[in-house]
Amino acid sequence: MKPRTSMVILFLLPASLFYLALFLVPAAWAFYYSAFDWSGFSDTMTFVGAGNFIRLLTEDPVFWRSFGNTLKIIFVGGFFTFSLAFLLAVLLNSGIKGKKVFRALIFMPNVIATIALTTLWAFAIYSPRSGILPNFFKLIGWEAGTKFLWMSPEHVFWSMLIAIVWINVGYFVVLILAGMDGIPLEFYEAAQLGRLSIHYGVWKTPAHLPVGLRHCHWRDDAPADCCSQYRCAPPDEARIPAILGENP
Amino acid sequence: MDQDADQVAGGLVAAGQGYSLNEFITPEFEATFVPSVLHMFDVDGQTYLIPYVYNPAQFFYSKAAFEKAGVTAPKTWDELLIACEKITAAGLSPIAVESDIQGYNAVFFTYLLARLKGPGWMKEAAYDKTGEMWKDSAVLQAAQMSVELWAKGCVPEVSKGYKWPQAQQTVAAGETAMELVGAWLPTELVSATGPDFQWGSFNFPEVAGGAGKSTDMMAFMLSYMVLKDAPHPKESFEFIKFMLSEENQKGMVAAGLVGVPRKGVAWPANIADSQVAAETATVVFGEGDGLQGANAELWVKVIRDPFNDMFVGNVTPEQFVEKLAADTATFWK
Repeated sequence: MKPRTSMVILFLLPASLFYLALFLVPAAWAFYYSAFDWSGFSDTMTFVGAGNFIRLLTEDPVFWRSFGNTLKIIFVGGFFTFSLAFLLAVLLNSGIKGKKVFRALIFMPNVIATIALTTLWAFAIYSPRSGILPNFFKLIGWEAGTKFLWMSPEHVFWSMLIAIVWINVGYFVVLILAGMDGIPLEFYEAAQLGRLSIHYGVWKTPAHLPVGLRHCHWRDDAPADCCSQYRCAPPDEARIPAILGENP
Repeated sequence: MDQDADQVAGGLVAAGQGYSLNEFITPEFEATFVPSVLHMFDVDGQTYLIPYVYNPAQFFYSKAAFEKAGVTAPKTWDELLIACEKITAAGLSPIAVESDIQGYNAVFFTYLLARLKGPGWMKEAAYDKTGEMWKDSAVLQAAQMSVELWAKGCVPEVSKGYKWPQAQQTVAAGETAMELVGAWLPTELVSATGPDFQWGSFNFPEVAGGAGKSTDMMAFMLSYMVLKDAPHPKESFEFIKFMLSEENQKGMVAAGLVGVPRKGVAWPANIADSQVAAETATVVFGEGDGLQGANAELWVKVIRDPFNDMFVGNVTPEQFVEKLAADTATFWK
């Protein structure tokens, strides 16, 4: 065995053993138990095969309700989480001052225990007595908003979904920002030009772009008046890599 | 081991993991307990659980709030509704309800059925495998009476937006007058109320024409049990006896501010009314008329949680009763 391979095994072993003992083995046991009618305490276990699963799928309304809620969290929550994460990432990447501070603030919910976060939302934000939201509505004199019960049975799911989006959005902002940081600035410029060439009717070239890029002849079908207000150059695609700082 | 008696009875004992302590229980030992509590959780004449903390389920109220509203502890349901009106008129909320604690809210249903039909009836109805007993008019009446509390302003609508312990905090803050819960409430709230807050408590009121008495009481007990496979059951029981000695029960009262089942040990001042209730109780039953201990799944899934769904206004009393009958029949199939 090569020294490198044994080193890899040595370093992987502790984590793998923990994972095996604390996750895979219990999961396998749970699957085994699922084939029995058993309270978890009694000495007798009656084998029922897939009976528990059939009961779960055909007789248990709570299962379907919770499954439906899970889907809503994934798709509705996921949609808003990603949309908001992209929006925030773009804003943070737009050259805003204090980017790192904002990024840390947005990411912060990820390092706080979920129980503390849900308590924060239930007590400090939504509570009819002490919550920020009802009290803010009171302050601005919006009666209906004051009386809205965020945590009542009919509203609690959507109220907490907002909290879930808030909790998760920071994680994806950081991932997307990391991705954005890896893109060279020139690509943005090129992308902007690309956009300009497509929407040549409404373009305005930002002043900070290299002069050489300020032409509208990337496409042969550009209308003649496209060049009327800007210095034009003939189509010269061979020049673009050089302008972008790439080796031809 | 020790735990909440209803939970252990419905879990370990129901699964046959308890050691019957009958062989050790002497008449002298039995005589040290206040009435009705030692055999609350017996199964087929066998005693598995020995209680050591006694939490009567009652209305716990702020004496200051009752004084301000000019009301005294109501003895009947109608008196309770009148008290609600007076308390509301005094600018306070009458009853605190934690909308998300099904176990607390089901105490209303348990008591209303116990007052209307007598203790033990609810359990009997749950064990009727056809579900037909739930169609007794008293069940719908109990459901309607519990909803009536909201309609008449006894429970403010805002309670639907509370998560435990927000409602009980309103009692501590002097905004709400009372709450139906176990005798742990004054102790649980002591950091919010301070030690000088004056508490009183009263039994769930009687209902006119009902079969139950106001002294039929529900209680949450903390109990000891010995596991079936314990290598030294005799020594385990000796330890239980030691913990239930007068000295140790007094110690629990002093340190934990709790009520205890041993006769002659004074309970803390803020639950003194509960001790009187415990000593004069005619019948003592566990959570859900003993159903939590006898059949936890039946109690929680078929009765308790659907009741709460109705209590907070998601379904009507009629729909609840219909579902109760249907789900009970399905459960026993």
